[in-house]
Parts: sequence; structure tokens; C-alpha cells
Amino acid sequence: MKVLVVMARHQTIDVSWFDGMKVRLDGQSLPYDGDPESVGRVVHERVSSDESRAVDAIVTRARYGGIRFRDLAVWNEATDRALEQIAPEAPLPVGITRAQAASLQAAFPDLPVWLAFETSFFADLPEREALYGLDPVFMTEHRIRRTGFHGWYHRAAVHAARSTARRERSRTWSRILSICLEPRPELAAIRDGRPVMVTGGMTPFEGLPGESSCGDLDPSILLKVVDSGRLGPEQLNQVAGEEGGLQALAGGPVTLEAVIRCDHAGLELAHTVWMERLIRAVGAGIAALGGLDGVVFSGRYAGAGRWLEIGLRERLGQALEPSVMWGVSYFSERLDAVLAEPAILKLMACGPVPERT
Amino acid sequence: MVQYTGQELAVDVKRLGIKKAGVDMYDLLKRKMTGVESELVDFASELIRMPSPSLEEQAVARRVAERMTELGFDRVETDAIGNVVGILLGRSSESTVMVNAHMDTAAVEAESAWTRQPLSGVVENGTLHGVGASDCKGGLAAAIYAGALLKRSLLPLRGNVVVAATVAEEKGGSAGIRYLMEHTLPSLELKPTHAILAEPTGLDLFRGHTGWAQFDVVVQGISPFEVDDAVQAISRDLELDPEATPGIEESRIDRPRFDNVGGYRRGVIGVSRRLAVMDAGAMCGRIERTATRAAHGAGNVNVAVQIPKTEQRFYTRQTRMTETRVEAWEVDAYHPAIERARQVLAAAGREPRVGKWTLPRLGMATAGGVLVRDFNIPALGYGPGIEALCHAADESVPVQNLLDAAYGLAALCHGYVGIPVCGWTSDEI
Repeated sequence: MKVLVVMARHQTIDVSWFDGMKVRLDGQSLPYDGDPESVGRVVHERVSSDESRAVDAIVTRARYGGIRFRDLAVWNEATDRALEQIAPEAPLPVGITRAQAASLQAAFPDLPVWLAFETSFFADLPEREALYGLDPVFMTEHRIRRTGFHGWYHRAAVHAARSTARRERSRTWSRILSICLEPRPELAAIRDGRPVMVTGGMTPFEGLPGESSCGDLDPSILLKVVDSGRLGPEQLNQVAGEEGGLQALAGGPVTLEAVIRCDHAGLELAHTVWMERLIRAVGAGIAALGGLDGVVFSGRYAGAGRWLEIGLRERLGQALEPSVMWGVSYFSERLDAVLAEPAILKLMACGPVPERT
Repeated sequence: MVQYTGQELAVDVKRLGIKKAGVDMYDLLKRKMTGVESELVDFASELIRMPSPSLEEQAVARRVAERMTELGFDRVETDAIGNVVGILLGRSSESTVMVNAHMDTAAVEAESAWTRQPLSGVVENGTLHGVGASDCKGGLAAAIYAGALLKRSLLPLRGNVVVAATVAEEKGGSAGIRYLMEHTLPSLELKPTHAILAEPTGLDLFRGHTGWAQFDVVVQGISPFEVDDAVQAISRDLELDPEATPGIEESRIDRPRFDNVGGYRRGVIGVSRRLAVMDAGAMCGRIERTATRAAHGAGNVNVAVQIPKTEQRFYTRQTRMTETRVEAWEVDAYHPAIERARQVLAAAGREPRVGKWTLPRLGMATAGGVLVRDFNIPALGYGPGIEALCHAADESVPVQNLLDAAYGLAALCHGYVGIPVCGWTSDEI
């Protein structure tokens, strides 16, 4: 059993092959023009016909599936129609997903294309957490609902941490804070493997400040921005989403890892603000969990969690009873491997590849 | 040629220029342009090579409908007088943006003045040449491909996008757009909430222009001498009437026509007048006062002024009585539709200025008068090419202008009826 994981980024497409044991057989980063419609062609050019024949399925990351998609979904006309229906909730990512999936299917007509939705892990987020303090009718009408955007990392990191704890016969990790250290970082509070709180919002605007996104804001600040410069939604997106966050605080483009490490004075403001937001989110997460058994760091900057651990232990040591014991785990797997696993499990469970309609 | 005011340039749109860190919807639209660029230019060239003087647009109309269908418009309709409408259906019909461009071209009057064949459609040194390149086949091609870009981008639309390719614009009287608004769109259950005229603006935003109308001053009397004297006096006074503006044709007076009707001598003076502050009705009154005063000393004659109606026979063989009248129109510089257009184009990395068409020659106009004045739809102009090249020898449009127009029109349509892409950042989520 073999899967091909395809992750299209801004200018490159990462393709990796995994066997049934989730062993990464090969991987490459392919340059492309950024048009989601060309993903299938670019991947097909790289993947020889022999290699494609040996693959049982293609898995591609999908950023948004709302509450409609709670698991991996095979791409077909029905899936595409369902995606079209939820497109207003996330116009850009859903459009990109549809185009990528269609192009992959066109390039590999004999293989199933699985969509791995980052939001599926949060589809069952408790209502008390998913809803806002707004008229429920309005929220239903506009499908306003909080979700998370790094579901696969959270799921895999928590699963790995719990497995390790079980193997080592240490105390059970049932209440976990999962901190995903990606350019747009995210904290999720997870009890018994299910999320009960997440810093993400209806869109990735809400939450911890990211490398270029502002994170939590008082909505009136946005109105002030609009009012001061006759701006529209596009400019708001720019101010708060493209030029905000750590980039704004540091005065120029910067990685989250550099801000966490903070090894020069110019990053101090960004570091202080970001750490404070993280501590608040940690506090909210512990409150949602009713305690804490462990913290797990994941994402491309998971290693930077070692710097965060020091700060967290210091701050939580002041806030929590000394008797509260909690551990820390680091999940350093790449996202492609994280996506390969559920696809392989699915293939194993399904036997032959699911039929496409 | 274009009129800008300081106030209209008050907002520094440069400040709003978007940083291109990651993928945003504008990157997506731009990437959709890749691959269709040569197709768009070839299509514009093909349209130019098809002669389409007013009321003879059938070949162009057929090709436009075919191309709209090929590009995946949800509906393509040709109405009774030959207008072609391509529709991208949105999730509701509460809002609809219409991009309008006309299929007919001005008559080529002095072919010898052209350095290339007027119907060559040739591209040389990055410029597409031929009659209608700027007015308005370049804009028409750009509008159709703007729809295709939106379709291919898979960005969800809240409302509808209508690309309307109309007939008989250059004939005066706006018969094509008027029929479209009165009959065609209502029959399709479409009511535009915004309109974009893909006429040449050099990719700036234009929000109005002066109008013009043709009047007949009819002088009648028993005595041929008195009628002839009155016609002469009236013609002289009408020549002096409007204040001249350098470079702008304010008035045109045709050679008088004479005949005898029921024993009366009749003289008719054709007068074309620019309409700015006054509408055609008020201008009619003013001409009548001038004419009556001028005829006063000529004897016993009766003077009347009217806007003549002429029958236009469309290529579909339908006929309509039409007044040769285009009212002046203007959308406020701070109208929300203009504000929104500025926001969108700034976000798309464009720096449009807001101004108005000058339309130096009488007979030039757009559909804006009908849309704004008769149907109360905020309209703005955004299209490739410049108006100075319209109705002139060696008409052309820069190819880059054409491509940018398709992208800009797609962005504008999305700004009016698209679901805003806000909150999805370029951080790799």
C-alpha cells in the first residue's frame, strides 16, 4: 500500500511517497506557477507512470472543510458540489482546494484523490466553544463558527504524546494543550483526544499573532482602520492579515522561530507580546480542560518549543498548585507524514480504493 | 484630455498598494491570466477583423456568443435586437454587476489617413491596431475574459456578473443598451445594481461625461423669402450661441434643408449640441428661444424645435424609433460605487485616478447616460485604450492595457458581487 502526498504551497509543490508503514520513501519540492489548476500537471510530469501505478491513492491537504467534512474525503462530483456549497465560508482556500483536486484527478484519472481537511478535527468542537456572542440566527445564516486550522498536527501530536505516555507507563495524558508552531500558530486544548478549545476563529485572523497575521483584535479596531483611510475588506485583509502580527511588531518579515528565540533586541517587543498572548491562551486552555497533564509542541518550528517550555514552566509554576504535574512532548514529524497516516489507515480499512462517482 | 480634480486625487492609493507576500485572490486572478493572454489578444484581433458598423454587428455578435459559451458562462443569450448577454450566476440575484461594451464601431471615414488597414487587427510592437481597438472591441474582449477569469478562479459570487455586448451604440440614441435594460434583462430576471463601461479610460476610473443631442429647428411660413431669411438668421445666431471650449466641439449646424408642405415653405436646420448642465429638454427650449428671437425680424414665420426620431433597423430586422440624444451623466466622486472600485483596484495593485471622459467630438458617448439617468444604476468607466484614439485614424490599444483591463474588470466585478476574501492570510495555514 503506497500513498502519494501532495502539498501545494505558494511557489512549490511538495510531493512525498509513503509506504504502508508510513515510511517516507522519497520526497521532492517541485517549482510551479502557483496556479492550483496546474498542480496535477506539474506532479504528473514528475511522477513517472511506473511510480503512479505503484501508488494506491493521492492525498492532498485541504485547508477548509467546515463542519461538512469530518474526515478524509475522496474527491468526486459530489464532494466538489459540497465544497461549492461551503465556499462562502472560506472563499479562497475552498476554491484552491477544488481546483487542485480537479487538476490532480485529471492528471491521475485512475487514482483516488483524497482531501485531508485541516478543519475536520474541529468539526465537533463543542457549541459553547464554537459559537460567538452573537444572535444565533445570524450565526446560522452566515455560517459563523469557530474552528482550528492545524487539525492534522494537533491530532497526530496528541496521539503520539498519549502513546508515548502509555508506553512509558507514566500518568495518563488526557488533558493536553497542543501548541502548533507554524507561521500561523495555534493552540488547542484537547481532552481525551477531542478538542474542547482552540485559538482559531471563523478565519485564521483570530487567535495567536502569526508571522503576518494580527491575531485577536477588538473588532472596533478594524472599524477604526476602515474609517481612517476609506478602506475596504481587501485593505483590512492587508493591514491585519498581510502586514500585521510579528512582522508588524518586529518592523519587518520575521519567522515565529526567531521571535520565540529572541536572540536580538529588535525582536523583544514581538517576543513579549507573542509570549503574553500564548500565556493567556494557555490559561484559557487549562481552564477549558479543567487541569493539565501535558503540553505538546508540533509544527515546523516544534523545536522552538524548548525555549517556550522554560517560559511556560516559569509562568505556570506561579499560577498552578505545586502539586500539579505536567509533562512536555515534542512532535517533530513533517506534515506530509502526518497526512499519509490517516490515508494509509483509511486504505487499509476500506480495502480496495473507494469508487468515484 | 481627461479631467481630474485635486479632490478626486485626495486619497493616496499608492499607500494602499498591496504587498505580495503570499497567495491572495488577486494573485489567483493574475495566475488565471497566464495561459489566456494570447487567447485574449487573438480574440480582440479577430473581433477587429470583423467589420461591424452600427446595425451590422451580426458576425461579431455570433462570435461573441460562441466565445462566451466556450469560456463557460452559465448562460448566453442573444436578444431580439441582437445584444449578446453572458451571465455568471451568483448565489442570489440581490446584486448584479453588468459590464457593458458595444460591438459596433464608428464608421471609417478617411481610410487614406490610416497607416494600416482599419480592419487589420494586427499586433505590432505590443500594440493592437484597427478600428474599434479602443472603442470598444478591446474592452469587449477584456470584459468577456474578465468573466472567464472569475469563472476559472472558483471564487464564490454573491451576486451575478453580466457581460453585455450591445448593438447600435455608435449610432447615437443608445438604442441597444436601452432595449437591454427595458426588455432583455427584465426577461432574464436580472436588474443590475452596478455597471461598468468597458470603454476606453486608460485603466483609470471615469464617472461621467457630457452628452449631446440632435435637434431639428423647423421654420415654416407662406413666404419662401421670409422662411429663407429666417433660416439664415437662425443659423447665424445658433452659430454664435454656445460658448466655445478649446478642443471641444460644442455645436454643429448642418446645411439647411428646404421643402414645401401643404402650400407652406419649410426649412429645417439640423443642430447638434453638447449637453452639460442642461438636459436635452432644456437645450431644446434654449434653441427655440434663440431661433424665435432670430426669426422675429424675418417676417411671418413659425419656428419649432424638436428632437427628431429616426427608425433604426437592427441586424435582426427588428426596428425601433430612436431619438438621437445622449444625456450628460455623472456619478458623485464619493459615491460608494466609486469608493469600492478604488479600494478593489488598489488592493489589486492598480493605481487608478478618478476622472471623466472629455469626448471632444459630438457623437461620442457611452451607455452611462441611460444607465445612470434613466435606470438609476451607478456606472463607472474602466477599460483599455484612450478616448483620444477613438473615432480617429490609426486607432489602437496597447496589448498590456488589454490584459490589465481583463484582470482589473475581474477584480471590480468581484468587488461588487464577490464574497470578500477577508481573514485568509498569506501565513501558511
